[in-house]
Amino acid sequence: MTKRNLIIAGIAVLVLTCIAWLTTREKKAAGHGADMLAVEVEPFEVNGGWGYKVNVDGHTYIYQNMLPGVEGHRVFRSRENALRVGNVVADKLTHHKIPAMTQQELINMHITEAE
Amino acid sequence: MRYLKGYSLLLMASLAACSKSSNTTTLVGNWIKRSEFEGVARNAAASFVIDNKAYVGTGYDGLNRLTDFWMYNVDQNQWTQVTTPFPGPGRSNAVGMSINGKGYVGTGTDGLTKMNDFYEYDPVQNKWTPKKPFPGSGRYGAVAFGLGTKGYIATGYDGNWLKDNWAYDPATDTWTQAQSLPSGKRQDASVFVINNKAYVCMGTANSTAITDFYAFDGTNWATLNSIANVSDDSFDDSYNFAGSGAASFAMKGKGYVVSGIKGGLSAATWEYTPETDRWTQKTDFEGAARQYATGFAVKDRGFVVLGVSSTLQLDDMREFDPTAEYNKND
Repeated sequence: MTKRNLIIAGIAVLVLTCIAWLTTREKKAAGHGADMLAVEVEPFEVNGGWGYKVNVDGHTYIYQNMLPGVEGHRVFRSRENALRVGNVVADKLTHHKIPAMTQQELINMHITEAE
Repeated sequence: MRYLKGYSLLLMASLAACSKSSNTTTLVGNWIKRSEFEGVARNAAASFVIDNKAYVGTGYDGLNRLTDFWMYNVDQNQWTQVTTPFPGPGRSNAVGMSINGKGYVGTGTDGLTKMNDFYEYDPVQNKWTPKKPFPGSGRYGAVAFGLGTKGYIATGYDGNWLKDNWAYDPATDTWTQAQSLPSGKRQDASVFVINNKAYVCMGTANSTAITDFYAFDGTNWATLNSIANVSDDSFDDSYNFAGSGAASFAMKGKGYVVSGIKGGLSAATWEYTPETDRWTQKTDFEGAARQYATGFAVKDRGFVVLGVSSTLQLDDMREFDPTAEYNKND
């Protein structure tokens, strides 16, 4: 390998390393700066009815395959009911409240299967 | 060819950049971040494990005493809210234990009252049933453990520090007074069960850390070596972890006591080997040092969740692998 080739290779390495370093640094900064995690509600069919998942940053954080805070393994009657309650839970999560539901809250929302 | 050389140099450079200098610590163990328990942050929760699922609930979030109860699936790393044990106000510093596939929660405080009520959870029906109240004085900061077909609630604080011990038989829904701890009245102690023996250690009374350490086999208490440097031998020279409000669990035949208040907040992790009656310090807990965290083991994997650090309520979930090399990057 000639001296010129060595220099070119050396410069290439330096430039590429710098680019790599800058890119990862930006990625890291973006990751740390993003304190707003995506919270999504995903209804799903279960046991002849519906449940919901609350996904935080792409990971299922709450997997609710039965009515929350209610005795027995009852399921939501409709996709819409599961979604409505899931949205309340997601709202609590994003407002830094305990993401738990009581039976009374479900009844107040006219989730009649919780009665 | 020259590009090839350039790329190989680049590869070497990046490898060098990625590698870290070797750890200087000689402690062995690894805390793995398992989940962010965001939104349900609390301390002094009650917990029990049934069928490889951990149930965690009640506790104090710095504002309210809570009633909600959650099931944690360690394989899916997901939480499911189950039904609540009791109507009305929640509580903190209650105890939880499992006996024969059912969970039990009782005692605790709502901030004013020291409670003695007691409830059974059936995971098959997702249903709580009130059971015969705990016959000892209403209290908080007790310990509870299941041994064979019976459960026990011992120690705690009812206005005074306690060392009494009560056996619950779920078959008959009856309580019997069992042998008290030989000494060492205390609250906020730790317990772990290995080979059907309950090891009770740590705790506090009168602002003093209790160093008495006992094992209960269902009938008698055996006195073990104190967790303080009190003997002439060298094995306990480093024992400095007496404190209270620590998380504890047993896995693979060993007991673990993690974090808690030891003078100040401590992140120390100590491992107990029953065969030798000796404690070994392991890698410090990686999360914030905390009090009133919840410890449990599922499938021989140890977890520490929740807790409070000063006034900050914590929501994180960490798994402890005592055999892993320490890796601060995971």
